[in-house]
Amino acid sequence: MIDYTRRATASDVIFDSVGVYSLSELGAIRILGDDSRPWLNGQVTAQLSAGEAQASATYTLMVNLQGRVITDGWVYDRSDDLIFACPRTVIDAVVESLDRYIIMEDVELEPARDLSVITAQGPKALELLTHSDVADEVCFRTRRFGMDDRIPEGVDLVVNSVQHDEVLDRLARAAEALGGSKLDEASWELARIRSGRPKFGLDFGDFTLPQEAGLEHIAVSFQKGCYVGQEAVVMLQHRGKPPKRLLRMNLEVGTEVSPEAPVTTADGEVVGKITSLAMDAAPAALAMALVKRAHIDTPLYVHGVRAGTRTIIGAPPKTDGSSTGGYSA
Amino acid sequence: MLQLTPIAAEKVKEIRDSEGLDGQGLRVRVIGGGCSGFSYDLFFEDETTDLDQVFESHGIPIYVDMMSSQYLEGTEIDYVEGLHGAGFKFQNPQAKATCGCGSSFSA
Repeated sequence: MIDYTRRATASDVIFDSVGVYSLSELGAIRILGDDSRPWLNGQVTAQLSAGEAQASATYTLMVNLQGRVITDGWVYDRSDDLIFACPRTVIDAVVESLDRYIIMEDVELEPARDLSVITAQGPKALELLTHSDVADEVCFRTRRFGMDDRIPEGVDLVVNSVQHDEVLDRLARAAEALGGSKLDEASWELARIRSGRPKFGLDFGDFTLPQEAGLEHIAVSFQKGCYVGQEAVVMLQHRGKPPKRLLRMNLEVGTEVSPEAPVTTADGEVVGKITSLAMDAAPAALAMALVKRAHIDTPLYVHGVRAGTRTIIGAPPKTDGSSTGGYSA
Repeated sequence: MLQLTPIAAEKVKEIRDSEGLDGQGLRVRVIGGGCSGFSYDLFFEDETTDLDQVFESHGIPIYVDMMSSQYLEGTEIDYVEGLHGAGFKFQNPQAKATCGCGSSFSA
């Protein structure tokens, strides 16, 4: 009998209080010009505001003409510009792709190497701000965990890179006063997988459609009209079914399991692979896996060990309140 | 470099007259966006710039900026009516693919 009883971990602060984390994996692109808002709205899957600076950032995707994900990112709408923050691993390709679609519009793109993003997430994240003496104009509400509103909104701070360390230390001290802490990468990843939030480059990317990772609920508007790749995304939504689905599953495989380990049926047929993995209360691990849709309800195995509780990422909660597509803290 | 079919030119005149825009030209441009990456944009305008190509097709002055002209070389604009609606239709030899509604293309 596998005991998945959770031991307390550093990742608990995301669900109980507040966790502070430096999003150093993100790079920023500054978008300037009178046409920047409508133009960018035509390049991304989410509905962006047509108005002035926003208190909330917008989570969105860029997809190619086949509907596959080029990147995910957050749009911070400031008074003088838009900041699009996306993984550094793809930022050059994103700039090249965006630049291609500027014809005569009044839009300029430039790398914003002077900016860094720090985030505070968890139920006490907004309370943290009142203890931290940070300017409102650098704060944007975001929800970086879970796939719905069961985990409260947190806040991203878009700060000048020279202030990064000082702001991070100040937020960390304020978080500790509220029972939270600064998180390291391993704890952040564990919290992410616990909450059922997919990560670009691991769980989704140019090898997936948005619906395969359940992202249509949080990053795609089906009312906004045209954007690059919209036809493929909408056609799948209304006429088809995603070939694969992203699952979160419990594993009792200790250190044997590795990212990209095959997921099989009882007969040994490979029907998917592990995309994200984090050790939880040893010997249990939590994993994300992309699995062929036909097999998401059948018994699945990793290294011959049957996977435990699983949820389909992005699936709506069941009406009886049992196992849902969201998080289980 | 770009031309209207006689039917499209008639429709443009009809719209221009009904909106009281007599004497204005038809601005044809390409903008970023749309399902396939580039979208067509049409509107009436009475001013041109040094960056515009200006020519006439079936009596309609047409203005195309230098960037858009790269994507519109050889394009024919028709006007079609059918059970699914009516509108201007672009036959663009520069387009590698066109979205279902025909309002955007990839190049």
